[in-house]
Amino acid sequence: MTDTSARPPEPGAASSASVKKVLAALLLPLFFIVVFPLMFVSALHNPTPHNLSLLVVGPTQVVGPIADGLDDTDEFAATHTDDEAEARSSVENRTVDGAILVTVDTPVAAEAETAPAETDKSSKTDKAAAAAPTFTVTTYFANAEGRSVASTVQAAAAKVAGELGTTAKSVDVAPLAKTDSLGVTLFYILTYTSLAAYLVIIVLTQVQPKARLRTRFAAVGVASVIAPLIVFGLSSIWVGDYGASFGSIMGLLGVNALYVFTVGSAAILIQQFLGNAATFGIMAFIVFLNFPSAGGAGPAALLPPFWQAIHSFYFGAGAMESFRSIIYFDGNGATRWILQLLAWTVGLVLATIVVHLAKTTIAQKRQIAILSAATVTRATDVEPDPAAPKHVKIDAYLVDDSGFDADPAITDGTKLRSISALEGADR
Amino acid sequence: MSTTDSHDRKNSHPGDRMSMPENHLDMVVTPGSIEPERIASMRTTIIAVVAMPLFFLLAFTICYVSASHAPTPHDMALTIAGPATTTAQIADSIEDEADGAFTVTETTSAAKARDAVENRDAVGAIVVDGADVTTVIASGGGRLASAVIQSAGSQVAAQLGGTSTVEDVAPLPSDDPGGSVLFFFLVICTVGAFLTITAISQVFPKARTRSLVASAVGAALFVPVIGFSMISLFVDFGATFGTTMAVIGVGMIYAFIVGILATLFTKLAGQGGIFLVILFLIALNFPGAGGSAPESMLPPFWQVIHNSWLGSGAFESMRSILFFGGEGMGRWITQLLVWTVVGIVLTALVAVVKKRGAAKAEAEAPVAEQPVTGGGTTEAAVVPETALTHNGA
Repeated sequence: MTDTSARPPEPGAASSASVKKVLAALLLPLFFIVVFPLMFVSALHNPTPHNLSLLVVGPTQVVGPIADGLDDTDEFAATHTDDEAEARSSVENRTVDGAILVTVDTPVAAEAETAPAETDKSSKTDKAAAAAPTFTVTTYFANAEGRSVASTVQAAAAKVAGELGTTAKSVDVAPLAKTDSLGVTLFYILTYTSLAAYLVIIVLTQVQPKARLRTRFAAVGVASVIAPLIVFGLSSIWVGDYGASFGSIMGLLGVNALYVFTVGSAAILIQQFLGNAATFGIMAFIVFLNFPSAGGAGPAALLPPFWQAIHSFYFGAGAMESFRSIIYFDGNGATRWILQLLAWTVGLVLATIVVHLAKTTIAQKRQIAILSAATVTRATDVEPDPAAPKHVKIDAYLVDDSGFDADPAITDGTKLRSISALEGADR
Repeated sequence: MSTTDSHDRKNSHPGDRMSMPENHLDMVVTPGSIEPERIASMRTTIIAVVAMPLFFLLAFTICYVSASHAPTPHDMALTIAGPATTTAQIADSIEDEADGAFTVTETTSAAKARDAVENRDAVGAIVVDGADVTTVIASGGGRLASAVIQSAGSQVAAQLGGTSTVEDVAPLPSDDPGGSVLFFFLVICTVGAFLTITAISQVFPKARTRSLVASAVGAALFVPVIGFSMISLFVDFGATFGTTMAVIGVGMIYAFIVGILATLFTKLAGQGGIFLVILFLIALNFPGAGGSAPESMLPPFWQVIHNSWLGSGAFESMRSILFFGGEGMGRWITQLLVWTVVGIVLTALVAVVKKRGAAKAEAEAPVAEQPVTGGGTTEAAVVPETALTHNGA
């Protein structure tokens, strides 16, 4: 086939087969240019808050209506409490994206001109209406949640403060490292280590199409230890250690290793299903669905609802939010996200093994069927007629046809016998 | 790969252990490109499985992180307009506060300052009128940079004790307030174009230069149109038909040169050309393009890259067309065209040299069927067809 196609300019030489090959080859770039904008642009083009979680703290009669007003919008999901300590801690614990603390300075005190020092400014501006209560508004936010989330919280607080006739004071409870002023480096770590994980599998399949499942998992295992070390090590030349402790960095590397292993397992499973077309699946599941939803390029609170839904269960989001928790929030809130990631790890590994076993069994059945159908003069002969099995093999198992060269554990005597018995029954 | 390689290869049989993987050191697996018959040696396997991901990790991490981890202004062009004494004072205090961050131009004409921003000579302008300050920004030139100018303007206003107003002379569309979408278009043009070449050269490892160039032309015609249409589903740039066509046109020139370079790299380094593609067209091309961090906020090394590379040439041209009414585009389109011309010349040279080499090899080893008349390489002709069968599916 290649010989004809190598001279496409010759008139009439381009057979329909080579045209088909060209079209098949062009599917991948086409897939990219159509699906990339569909996914990345739809997720990231216009970040607007959707149900961004806010906690309004203060006396119920004051903050109740404020919280309700915010909650009625599409942008925010607001709750309120009168426990002032929760304002800061809820942001630090990542239970909400931001908190607005409203404290009321009693008008009686103001009238008596014994106003507490901290209300000086507001009492000055409100002197005309000294009888009205004055308010202090403090905003708790975290730039580490994403700078756009932080600025959305501040804007909401500023509006609340404006309605109360004051200005909001801002407190960043989880500032970004100076060397990571955009907060993108953790996302870089996520994307590049993903790349390492699936490239290992893609390249391995190219050079060793028949590599055993255990070899593939071994390769992924090695990658999951080395890739995080390399990427973090290199990035630390510019970013340093984020001001995080040694333990936190180890935690980050550990979760990253788990993530790489998960991505690698996903790549193995995709390859089992799609064979040579695995790149499409890998792009779809590991790049196009995974990266925009991770919450790194666009924070989850500002993603469109569809992408927020993906964020709430996908493995990349599990890893990304764990990284954030570990590096910038002292590990607060990491558990939920690590579990989200871990569920994928376990699920993918199990699915891979099940698919592998199923494929192996089916492959053996077919082989036996062929051998017995060819009426069996050489039933025990391991080297059958060269044409027939080759044909069947290409038909059915392009990549993972380990039934032929495979696992001694699976091709052992007992198993074969039980299958042949079953096969006999079928006939 | 050279012709001698081709001669060596004809002696190999399916299942032979190879010293180097024929099956592409490549991230891309096109349907039918894997040959189950083929077994690479353990050494090859390890080299491939380690080298490829390692290369990506190193190239991407080093380039992206060094370029855009913490964008800060470096020599950001800022024009200050107002009475000479005031502007001198402001310029001094800016220099004291952030040495090297800004390159300040002073003028007494508010109109000139505004023009400088509209023409892209300056990233932003601070216009002082009495104590009041008007900050002129151009969001279309980079959101991060315009935010820096804006905060500089409000600081000046605070110092003078006047009001501060902001005027955006190149606003971003409401569908794209972050200004990231045009960069996605650049990514689509790049990847769509080189992926076409990689995919074609994988399925037809013997494809001639002229076939690959034809593929590059095809990709250049289709990729920007499809990409821009897909983007339009989500983003309305509010541009006229002519403007849109001009942006797509720049995309076509750019996609073409990307395809040409991918062809050149494939011809020079065979399937290992993907390493050159990644290095030249992604790792060095994207971080310095001015998309994620605008030129004025890149580290000095990346500013140099920005002022010479092909991606920035295309990206800044598109920006000029889309947000600045074409102002300041000449310099960038020239940068892009220089790459185009050099790329074409180099590719033609490589094709000619390979052809001569092949002709020479042919004379030494008279296996050939007939001389080839085209401008492409002669690999296909000098290798008997039977030798190629194992390259097919």
